[in-house]
Amino acid sequence: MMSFFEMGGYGSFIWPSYGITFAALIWLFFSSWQRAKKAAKELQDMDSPKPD
Amino acid sequence: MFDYLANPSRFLRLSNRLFMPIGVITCICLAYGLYLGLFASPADYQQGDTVRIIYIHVPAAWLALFGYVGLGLCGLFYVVWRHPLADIAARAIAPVGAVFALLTLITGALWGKPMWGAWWVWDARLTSMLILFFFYLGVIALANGFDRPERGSRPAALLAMVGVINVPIVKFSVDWWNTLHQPASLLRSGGPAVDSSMLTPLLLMLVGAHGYFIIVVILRMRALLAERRLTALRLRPGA
Repeated sequence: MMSFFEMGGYGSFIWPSYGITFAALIWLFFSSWQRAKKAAKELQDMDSPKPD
Repeated sequence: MFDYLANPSRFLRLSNRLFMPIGVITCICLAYGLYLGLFASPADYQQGDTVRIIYIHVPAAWLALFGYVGLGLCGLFYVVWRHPLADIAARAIAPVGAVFALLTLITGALWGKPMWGAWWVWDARLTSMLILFFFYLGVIALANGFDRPERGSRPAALLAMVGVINVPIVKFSVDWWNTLHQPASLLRSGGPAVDSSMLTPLLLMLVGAHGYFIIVVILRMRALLAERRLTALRLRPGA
């Protein structure tokens, strides 16, 4: 198991590559998702205003 | 086809239908590609395990380049036909492409240090890729640099079109100049020069990366369309 993480001595280059890439992709996906959800919600609230 | 899709509500209907199937294919490809790339594929006889960086570095680079071609096409559609959806698409693509360009540079540095002995060299491939990243930043800055966002659309579209000249330079830099970077492995005359044990995970990650790109661009286009509509509703007299 340890040899898998060592990656033939190159683990300190390979794991940061994968880590940074997937961290960035996950962040980009969720920030885009949140933005779409927030805008859709505001639009819905505007189209059907709550009765006073 | 473009005329048909250029209608925002038709685009939204189509994107709603495509969203889940593309999402499922993307997840399967990325999961299986990661398994093959990290566990089941062999180490390279020259580069050892560092070759595994190829499974993220090459898809990121492809998407950075394809994304820019898409950005340039959107620019063309916007400048010639003034279609607002082309502007929306360009605004959605630019940040996603910029992230892929930056990831290409970072994973390339993390691959270059152990194999070449340097994080960075000013050679043709690396420098043209850095310029591609700067073009993305320039397009984003122009598109968002005005009080009224629509005013930035045309300058951003023009810069996007100019920057397309850099795409073939990135692609062929490894053939035109002496460079440390290895030559093309997939899109070359004579077919891919990669063994199937490494080609399969690479192709899976490529398909997954394209799926991811489409999904995120659809999400951002939805957000931008809704935000535009909100702005229009708020400016309406009596609102």
